[in-house]
Amino acid sequence: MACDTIRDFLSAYADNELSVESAVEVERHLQACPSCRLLVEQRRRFAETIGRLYPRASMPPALEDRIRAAIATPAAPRYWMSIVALAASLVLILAAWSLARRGQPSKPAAVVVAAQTHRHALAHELPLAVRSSDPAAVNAWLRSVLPFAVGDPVQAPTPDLVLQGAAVVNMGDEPVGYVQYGHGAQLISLLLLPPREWPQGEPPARVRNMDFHFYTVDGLKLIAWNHSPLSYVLVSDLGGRGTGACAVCHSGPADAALRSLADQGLI
Amino acid sequence: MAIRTPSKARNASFAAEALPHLPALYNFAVTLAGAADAEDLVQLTCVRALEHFDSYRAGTNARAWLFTIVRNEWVSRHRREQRRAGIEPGDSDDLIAEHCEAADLETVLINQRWSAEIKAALLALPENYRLPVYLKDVEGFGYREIAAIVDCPLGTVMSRLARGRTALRAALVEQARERGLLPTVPEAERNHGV
Repeated sequence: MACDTIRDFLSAYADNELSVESAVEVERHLQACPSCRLLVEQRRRFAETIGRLYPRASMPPALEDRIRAAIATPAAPRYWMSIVALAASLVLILAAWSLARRGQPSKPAAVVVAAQTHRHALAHELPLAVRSSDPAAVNAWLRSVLPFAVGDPVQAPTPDLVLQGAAVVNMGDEPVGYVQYGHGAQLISLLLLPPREWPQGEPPARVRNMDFHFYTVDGLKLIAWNHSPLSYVLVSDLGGRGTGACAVCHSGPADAALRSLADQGLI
Repeated sequence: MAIRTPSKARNASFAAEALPHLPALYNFAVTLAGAADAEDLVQLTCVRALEHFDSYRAGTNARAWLFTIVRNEWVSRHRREQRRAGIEPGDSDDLIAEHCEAADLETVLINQRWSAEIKAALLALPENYRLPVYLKDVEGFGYREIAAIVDCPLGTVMSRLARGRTALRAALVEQARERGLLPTVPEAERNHGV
């Protein structure tokens, strides 16, 4: 066998990863070819040197602590709960621990859980309890199932969005509303929560006396705000700061200016 | 959708299987996503691994299982970002790695303690080559395990590892020559290779 052919196999031979038949072929060639023998030895030395010298990064102690704390958390005294609740609990603990350890502003737990919920929706692990494109029907269902004042949170979206339905998900032990929209092949998630404060991080955008807080979690864009009687978290993987998702609530002519601001990235 | 709440025993079992591998997972996450995103990636991996721990067979290769989840989580996020940027994920098998033989390179690497240079050169490789080289030479995985982690055929692992090492070696030889640690090669000889 020619050197050019054999050389394709020398790395695998040096790693003892060739089949017996192939290894015999290579060895037969090596017996007659000092140049390839040298290459095998060089391959071995190089791989060993890389393995020996490659610097291992030290894992941040806070990361290990957060994960250990999350894993050590006793199980809730219930026999089952949703995947969302399980993930939410873990992420909440991670977020809280992160805040405590680092002593610096952290993303609100509700935001982290909202991102995780959106990821479950993307993975088709979040079935909708009601499927409807009618905002009135979805609002009525949400009012019937959520244990807090809801009002009429779901409005007709812009034509490029499709209201798909809603569900109830758990945020810790707290049920919250989940509304799903389709935007082509993309999903937009809207979480409806009892009112809460959003910690100051990046300065919020103030529009119509409402403060919109922007977050990024694992590449997802989240916008959180309050509008009586609810707090909202909007999740998408749209570009910019995710303001394209604002179209879930702003379809009327009066909102054209607002959409224009969002399109320009000004809010 | 409904699953059992993880019991203390289950969590303890997960901890026993997963925690010893956290430093290696973190390093692999750095190799995949960079230091800035590595923590998030490891956290998400732990969330995913705990969710799917029932599918893990006790006593099998936990390290390879966790590495596979890290890589899947990263691919999931990476593809989403590529879609957002209008880039379709593709194969980067277009690396042209010339055989670059310099017998004394390993001596230079050891004598000069080129740890940082090795890491920088490895991280500069295209992903298709970076991962097999890292998983084999740094983490010591076998070819079959690497094939499972990076989700590609065994033969592809073999060729990418060989080409990745050649490219890595060529990059380090070039640096050593630029710094005068290895003799430069005359143009005519370089064109012929070895």
